[in-house]
Amino acid sequence: MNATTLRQAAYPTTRAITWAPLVAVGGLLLALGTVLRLLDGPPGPVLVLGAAAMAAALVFSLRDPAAPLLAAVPTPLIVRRVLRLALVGAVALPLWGLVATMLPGDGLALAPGLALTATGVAVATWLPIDRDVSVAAAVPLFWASATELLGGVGGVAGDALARWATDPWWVVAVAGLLVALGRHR
Amino acid sequence: MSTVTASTGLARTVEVTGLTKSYGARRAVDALDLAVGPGVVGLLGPNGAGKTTLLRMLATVLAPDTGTLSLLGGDPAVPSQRLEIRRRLGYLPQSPSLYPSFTPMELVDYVAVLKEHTDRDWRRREAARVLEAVGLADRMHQKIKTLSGGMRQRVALAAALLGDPELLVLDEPATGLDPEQRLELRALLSASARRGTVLLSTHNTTEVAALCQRVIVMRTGRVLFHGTPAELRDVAAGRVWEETEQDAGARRSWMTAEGTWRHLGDPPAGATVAAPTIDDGYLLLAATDGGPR
Amino acid sequence: MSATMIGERTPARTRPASPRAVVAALATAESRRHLRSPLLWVGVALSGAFAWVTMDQPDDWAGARYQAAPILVGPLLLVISIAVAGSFHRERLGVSEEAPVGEALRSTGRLVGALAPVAVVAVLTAAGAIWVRQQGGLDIGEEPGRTLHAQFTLPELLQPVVLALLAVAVGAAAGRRLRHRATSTLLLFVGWFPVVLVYWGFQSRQVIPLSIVQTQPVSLPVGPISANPLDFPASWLLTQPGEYQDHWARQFVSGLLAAGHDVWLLGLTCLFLAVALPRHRRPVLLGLGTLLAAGGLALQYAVIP
Repeated sequence: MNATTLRQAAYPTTRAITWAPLVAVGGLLLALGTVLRLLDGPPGPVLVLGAAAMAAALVFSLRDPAAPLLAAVPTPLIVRRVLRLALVGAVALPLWGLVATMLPGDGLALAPGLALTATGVAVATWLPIDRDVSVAAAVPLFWASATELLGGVGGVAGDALARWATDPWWVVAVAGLLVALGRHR
Repeated sequence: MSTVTASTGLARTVEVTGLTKSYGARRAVDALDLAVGPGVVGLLGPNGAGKTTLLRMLATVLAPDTGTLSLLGGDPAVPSQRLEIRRRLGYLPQSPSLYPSFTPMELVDYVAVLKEHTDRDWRRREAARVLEAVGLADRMHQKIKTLSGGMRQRVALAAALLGDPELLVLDEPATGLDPEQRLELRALLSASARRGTVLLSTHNTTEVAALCQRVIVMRTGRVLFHGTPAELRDVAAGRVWEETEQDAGARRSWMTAEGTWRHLGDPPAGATVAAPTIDDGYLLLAATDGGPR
Repeated sequence: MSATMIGERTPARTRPASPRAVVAALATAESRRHLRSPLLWVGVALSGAFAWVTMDQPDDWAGARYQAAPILVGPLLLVISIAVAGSFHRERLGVSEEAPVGEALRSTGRLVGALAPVAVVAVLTAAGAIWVRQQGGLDIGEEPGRTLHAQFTLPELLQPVVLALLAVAVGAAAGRRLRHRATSTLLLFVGWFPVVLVYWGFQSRQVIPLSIVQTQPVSLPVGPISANPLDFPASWLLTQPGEYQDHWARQFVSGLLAAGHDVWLLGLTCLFLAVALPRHRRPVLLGLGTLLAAGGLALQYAVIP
């Protein structure tokens, strides 16, 4: 595997990705951002919502219907997945930035979204080989929802639940380590 | 522990010792030993026999729980060697999904890129060659979603054939193909086997008789039989008879198109023994092992 | 040892099953599938934990727990929608296109089967109502207009059940009309999340009839800081001017308002079902949905002072 392979694989990989979830989430977030901007409403839950939904859409982009056919090619799964993430990230990041500029106030940080995405990718890496990545894509949704709903729990459990928002870079680091450990799976 | 040697005397491309893979409590492949050289090796067995699991391990897609595995002289458990094996391997999974919006040419070209073939011109020529070989020359620029199931299967087969791999692992390659296409497939795989090893699973004993130099019969993760197709047929020699009535003492019985009953087992005195087929050998083997009646 | 017997046949049915029997059979299979799905029980657990976190702490303001009660079913609404979307997404797979049972009957079976998780919501709502009764009621308002014994009215208690019906309809529409399950799941998440968690965005008298999850009491300004609360009718529940409010407000609780809102939700349910079901059923559902939604809205606006 080399840079030429990746460069040549970029265009067909772009075509192989299921873009609908990302487009749907992006469109809806832009609409919500517009409404909130008009109402000048506080964006708190929208931050959580946006981070989780965008992370889920990014993780879902790892789903490859032709994965069994490609399972024995010399370009490893991890490389193919990184390529997919890079391609969807190139669309998701500007979209995220656009929503961030639309929302009133400050605080639409990138790091929590990255933490949720990295967690989903780590789960996808360690899923049993035949399991659909949709399970991994549900992780950001579940984690963010649980944090929002059970935010009042407090204590160790409450702190752990909110870790993706309070210490996102630690979460990214741990998830990255898990992905690295599972790179040969 | 069962040992299978399916070598033609040349260097062995596949060597397996004590290979085991379990899914929960169920052992899909159970302490299997196997050595395979160049040629076509057919894998027969009922659904759930462990054929697909074995082929996935031989394609480096699935790691065994225990046992050693040597493919093309390398150990797939070592990442760098696995990569080297994959460069020389072609794999067709069972009923693979493809990208519906791609054309066969685009898909095969994409697989070629991921097989690290970076020369565009070579890729185009090779993709056209394998698509022509599987009989899709006139369909290579049509969207895959417009192709029939058999054609899609052939697109996937073309992807597996890219670059003339030394080891071809094919899980039910003839699924969805009509008789004419099956004939073409046989010719194609025979040609591939002259350059390396072809391991294929099938439910079709006719396929095995026509194509394979060696045949392995699996059941519940173990090997019931290994040998040539003729040896498999001989398993039923003197143990097939036909009568106008059903014989309750037979291990297996069915009514033929001619309206007579064909029986497998120990023929009663005076029965007219019939010439066995590979089917008879396979069915008798499965019945002897306590398989489905 | 017996030989293989080939040739025994099961006699074919000579008469087709009645539509009712088909729907019943499909609904039974679907309801079993829903009730066995871990997703539903994850939703129950999340709603349960949400309820525990919300109800276990003292009111942040007078009426906070009463107001939060309707949103506790939020996680359940989301998982019901996702589960039903999965059920209707199977309709897109084309495996039953040639079946003698048409899409309309299959969809009816799926919808009837989806009543199983709705029943779970009903049971949980009833359990919640019993708990509130056992507690002697919840607080609403501040002196001199206050009660410590507020109980939910029947239309308010019906809201979670009607919301669950809406969740079924929304899930059916998403599953039937969107190609990818992931898209429908994400859209349902992005759709339900603000509806539940941004419920406070719909609390002014102008927009509360349009809310999806309606929380009562509705806060209605009734006088400036300088007003004498004893001049207000004694039956009014009140909140004082404070950090977030520069006036005296009446805490309006109404079973009739909740009833109107339930009708509005039923109207929306019909409209979403019109999207989900085959074309020939659309006109009736669209007509009925529009009528109910408009009627529900009209009733609510008529009730709010």
